[in-house]
Amino acid sequence: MLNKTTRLLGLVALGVLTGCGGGGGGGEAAPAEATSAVVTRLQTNGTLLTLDRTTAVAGTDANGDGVRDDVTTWIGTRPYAADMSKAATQLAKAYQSVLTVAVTDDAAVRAARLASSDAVECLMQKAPSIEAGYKAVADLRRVTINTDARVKAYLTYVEKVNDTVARAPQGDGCV
Amino acid sequence: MTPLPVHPKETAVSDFRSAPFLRPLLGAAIGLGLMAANTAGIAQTTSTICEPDGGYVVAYYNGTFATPEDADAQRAALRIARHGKYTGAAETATTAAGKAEPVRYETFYSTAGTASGATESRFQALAGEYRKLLDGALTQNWEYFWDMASGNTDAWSVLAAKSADARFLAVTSSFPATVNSLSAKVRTELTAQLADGNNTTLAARQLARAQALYTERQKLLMVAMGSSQGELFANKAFAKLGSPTDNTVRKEVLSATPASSLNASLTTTMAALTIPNPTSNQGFITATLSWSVPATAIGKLANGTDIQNDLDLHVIEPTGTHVYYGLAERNKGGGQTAAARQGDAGYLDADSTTVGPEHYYASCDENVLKEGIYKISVAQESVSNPSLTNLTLQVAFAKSGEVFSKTWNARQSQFASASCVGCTGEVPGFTQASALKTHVKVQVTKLGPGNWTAALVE
Repeated sequence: MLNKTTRLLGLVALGVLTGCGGGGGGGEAAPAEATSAVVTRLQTNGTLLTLDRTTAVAGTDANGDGVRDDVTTWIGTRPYAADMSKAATQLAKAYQSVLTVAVTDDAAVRAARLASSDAVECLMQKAPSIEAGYKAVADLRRVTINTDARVKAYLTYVEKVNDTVARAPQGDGCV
Repeated sequence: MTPLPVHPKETAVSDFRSAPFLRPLLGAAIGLGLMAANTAGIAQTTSTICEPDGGYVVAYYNGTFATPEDADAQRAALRIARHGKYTGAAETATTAAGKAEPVRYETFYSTAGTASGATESRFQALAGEYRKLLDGALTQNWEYFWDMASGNTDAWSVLAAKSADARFLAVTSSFPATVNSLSAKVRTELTAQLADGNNTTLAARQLARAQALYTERQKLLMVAMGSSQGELFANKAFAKLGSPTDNTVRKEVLSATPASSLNASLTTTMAALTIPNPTSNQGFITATLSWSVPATAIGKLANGTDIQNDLDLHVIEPTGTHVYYGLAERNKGGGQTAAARQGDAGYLDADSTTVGPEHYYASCDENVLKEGIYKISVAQESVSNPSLTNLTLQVAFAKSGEVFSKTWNARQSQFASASCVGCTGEVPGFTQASALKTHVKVQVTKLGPGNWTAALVE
């Protein structure tokens, strides 16, 4: 019985693999799910974060506090202590500024760069550990710079601040 | 986490060590000049408006495909590793002589740059690879790009498993392989670019900053992420400073991002550092003009004279005094010494006609420093190969570090003409003070004894 079951499972697996391979031979191959459909499925089932994925770089900031509304919501879901949550908001605001800065304005770019430097310092100082600080900085980036338009804007800014020097604030950088 | 050994010392001669004011043979004369000029504010003072003992600067050079925020976070980690969390007191390190001196941390940020002939940066090219993944299905889902660009596949692995799709599972290894491949390519290409004597643009502003810190008597510790462009640029800066063997600059290369475990090595390395260039100075404001020239434009002509690369720093002080090379000519009897280039509030340290740099130091002596506007300009007299020469003007304040940095190509910044179509005229030749183009204005204000501020103004 066991041998028959094993052989049967083997045949089923072979059939599945053949189907996944896109066909061949005379059988009708099951069409692969489009990758975009997989992404939609992952979005629907909650695997992907629910974020503002509109085409505008700035996104929606209904209360005008300088932080995209969905990012504010996301920060609220983090198990951050109060001072770390405040620091995360400061960095979210800095990320939003570098996304929307006029890269032809040298003074504005420098100001945005120093504001983000201070915000990062603040978050690292308020995080419970260096590793937690690294993760918070990275997590904020992944939720803020999350669409094609935002990535393009951000990487333009990044090249603009290539070969620059930013001094850490004398204090903790928190505002 | 353990730092790798410091790189072997190199033997290149730095630019500014060949400048007249630092030549050993002139050391005694300069020393006398500094003593004579002491009351005029050239020598170090005990004023509290600067940091007369220099202090320490830890310069962090980031890894490939690190964002500015990554680099700043790693800089912050170095600071926390060395001093713990900020408590409200200024962080200090103790010298071998047992003196506590302030420590500053600076991010020397660089990207992977742009490949020769490419229309997009290497970072943008990496993003382009992500954009193509899975038939473009991820173009509104860039969260995983940032993770994988920094070597983290945790979140993507979870997503791929939930997709139950072999194509998504394959990305778990394929995209990190792309990142690694491009990183290796960056290092290879930049190594070649840095070896090219005609490449004068790479890391120009960072080099200017390192030079300025060194001449301001900062004990400089360079910390670089290994196998990255940051390490290459730290190497270049170290060589530019003359590859000192006297512990005035140390360079350490990390094999992993900074962590708490670096405390002991940072403490030990910083304690071993010694004050560089005791005859140099620091300023309440320091303006640095440096320039990079191709290898073919350094040296002597057939007739034995120096190849001329003559760029000049000009400062018009609040009193109206124009501090520049010509001041030495007006101050008859002074010769080309710092004392002869002394203005009312500061001085120009050199008039280099070869490879620079030149510095203007506004005095740290409250009795000499003047309130008002300082207008800072640069001009070019003659440049051997302007198309391949780039000049950098940097301004730093004693308390807050670099506040301005800009690089121009010598050719493109000349006045537009029939032979220089499209040239901007941003760095013209010098004719008279009123014709100078002011690049930076600094407002200095005295708030009270020992309490001065400096700010850039429009």
